[in-house]
Amino acid sequence: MKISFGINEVKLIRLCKKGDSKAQFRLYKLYSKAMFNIAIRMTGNRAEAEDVVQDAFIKAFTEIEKLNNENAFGGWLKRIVINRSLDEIKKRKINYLEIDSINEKQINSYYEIEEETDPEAVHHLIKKLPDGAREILVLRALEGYKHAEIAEKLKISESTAKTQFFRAKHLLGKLIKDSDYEIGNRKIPQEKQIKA
Amino acid sequence: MKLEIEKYLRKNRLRLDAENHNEDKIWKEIEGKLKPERKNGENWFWKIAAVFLLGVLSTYIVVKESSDKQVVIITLADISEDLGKKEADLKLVVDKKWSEIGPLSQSDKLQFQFLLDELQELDGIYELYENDLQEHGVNEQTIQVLLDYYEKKIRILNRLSLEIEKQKSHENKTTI
Repeated sequence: MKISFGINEVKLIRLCKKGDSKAQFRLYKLYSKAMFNIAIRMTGNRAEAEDVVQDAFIKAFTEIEKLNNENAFGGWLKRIVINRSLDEIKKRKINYLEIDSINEKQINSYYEIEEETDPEAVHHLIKKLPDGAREILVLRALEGYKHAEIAEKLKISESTAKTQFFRAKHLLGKLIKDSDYEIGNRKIPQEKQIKA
Repeated sequence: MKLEIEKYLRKNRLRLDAENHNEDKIWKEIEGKLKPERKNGENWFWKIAAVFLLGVLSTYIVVKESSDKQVVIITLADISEDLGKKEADLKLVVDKKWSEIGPLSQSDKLQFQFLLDELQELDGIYELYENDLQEHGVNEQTIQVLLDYYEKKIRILNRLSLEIEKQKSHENKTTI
């Protein structure tokens, strides 16, 4: 992940290594929104996402001496956010479905959406996906993790990771179809999170 | 135009980060939890500074002690030739008196113990003033006390000599 900005990020990181609180605040301002959006898409819950962001920045600033490649702060922070989000999700004891229990006909439908669909609306719909499907969709489609890496992180088989990913895409496609957002309506639906 | 969901998500990845968070509230929490860490850092700074100062102080004391020990012992002769001569003369008189008295018998020692104690006390005082001279340098009062020491010592030795003589003559009379 690379966020572009006009100041020297490496300089800020070096100041953070010396405990400079102003530099910490500037780095926080640069990255907090992106990290919050990752966390809320992973957890689907605002309060948990705020806790994740808070803990992630505290961990990052207290362990910043360990960061050897000062150009990789964003990626390093994102990994902390994702790992911390997974810790939150694991508390819910999710039962990841195996491939046999999925209707393949359903999986293969709803895979395509209109290019003009509002991304902000899609962001909110991702949050409504059930536990299990949601974090796998985020890790695979948005954060670029491989199925094998996801399987290792969630302690599931690679085939289960793939199944859950297809299921997540299907569910998201269905949510988008069922809403008006595909044509760019930005109104956020109030219905409850759909069941797995 | 239709897009496969995965492609759509990748294409719009940055535009998905649209939700705002309570930035200030979260920062206050972070700042509050980072401050004790900084305090620890400060404690470490003061601990290191204290150890450093202690090291400097110890080095200073050791250097001072060893340099003090290297000070050349000052005698009255080092202060002036006259004083040196005076001291040497007085020392000669003392040595002469001791040779006149000769080695004391056990009974003499017992009988004139009070005079021997006085001599010992006088030596102690001399030692104290001699140390003063090494530590604080030349001082008129110290010089005077050191010279007086010899004179007092000579007086006590004279008395000791007389007492021994008296004792001997008394013993001669009683034996005759």
